[in-house]
Amino acid sequence: MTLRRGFKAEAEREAARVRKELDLAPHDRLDPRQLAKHLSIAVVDASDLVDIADLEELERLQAFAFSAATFEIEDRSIIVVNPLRMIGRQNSDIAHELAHVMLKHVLSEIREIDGMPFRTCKPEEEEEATAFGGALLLPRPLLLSAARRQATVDEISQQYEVTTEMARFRYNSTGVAKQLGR
Amino acid sequence: MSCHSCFIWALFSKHATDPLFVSDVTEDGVTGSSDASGAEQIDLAQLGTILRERRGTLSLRQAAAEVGVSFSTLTRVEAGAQPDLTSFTLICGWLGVSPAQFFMPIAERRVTPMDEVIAHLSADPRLEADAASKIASVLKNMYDVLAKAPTQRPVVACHLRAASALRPGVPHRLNSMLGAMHDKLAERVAAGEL
Repeated sequence: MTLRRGFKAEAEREAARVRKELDLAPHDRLDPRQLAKHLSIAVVDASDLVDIADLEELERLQAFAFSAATFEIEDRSIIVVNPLRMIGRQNSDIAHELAHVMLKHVLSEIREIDGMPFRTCKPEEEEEATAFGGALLLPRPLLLSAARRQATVDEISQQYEVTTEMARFRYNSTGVAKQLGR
Repeated sequence: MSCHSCFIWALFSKHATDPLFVSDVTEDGVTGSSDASGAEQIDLAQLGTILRERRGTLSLRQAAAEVGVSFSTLTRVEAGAQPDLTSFTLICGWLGVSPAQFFMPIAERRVTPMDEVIAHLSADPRLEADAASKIASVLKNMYDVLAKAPTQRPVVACHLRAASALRPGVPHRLNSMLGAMHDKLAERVAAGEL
């Protein structure tokens, strides 16, 4: 599946606009919790709501079974994040959930089949949220400046508190290395 | 980029406190749920078995590409994990079977503690039928007063970022955990804390 035409450029523009609102330079680290606060979206640790032993038990049953969720309560969006994740992963999860809210994705696909609750998702919305979440954390100008000073993927992930997978994905998919090589 | 998928998750009022509730995971990995209203159970072990048989000598990677799901999702579903609805529909389409076939009517009904007590009392040779019935009646009244009513939870929806396929036992636990999170958040919003 591919993103609709022009989405990536829109995501970069929107990320730049949001950063400006937060008084961040294009190459500054963006804290997704700070962005959530700016958007009046609460971010709550799951261990503040349920026993951490239950979260650990779920993790033992299946690693990475639960990472984050967005609830809508009385017209408010609230993001719940699993504190068992590393900070880089939490940042990706929060950015992804914020992307859903900012892109105004609605909870419209709740399904029940013969009494069985079923998880549903809209693959195109997932892809959009992943792309926009990545652009928020590591926008193109930031990656370009990192590439200019020859920062490695690991250095980018440490400096900007994102996972190495996210740093690699963004570094490769935005083609900044190619641009500098010209 | 990541093993995560986002789902929209629906929570329904199925609780262990309901005496007719049948656990959603049995020893053979069958996942599903049922209640007194005649809801049905989904047989995911059967889905995994049919998938494995139909795939035959085709590799998991080739089959996943044909189905249109990821390699890891297909691997996990074959092992009995619950796929998300999109993957489930794609797999059923590839198998050429109706999704409905994986929902089986429940034949079993769990005996309630009170049914068990009454059965024991009736079978006690030291008690006349009338005496057994009187004790049962007293116990039943006390049970009705003291036993907690099953929690009725409204349907709740949330965006969920979780693994793309969930192992047996995980959907049930996650479901109840998300329900608890929702209730606690609703309390906090009502109290003006959020």
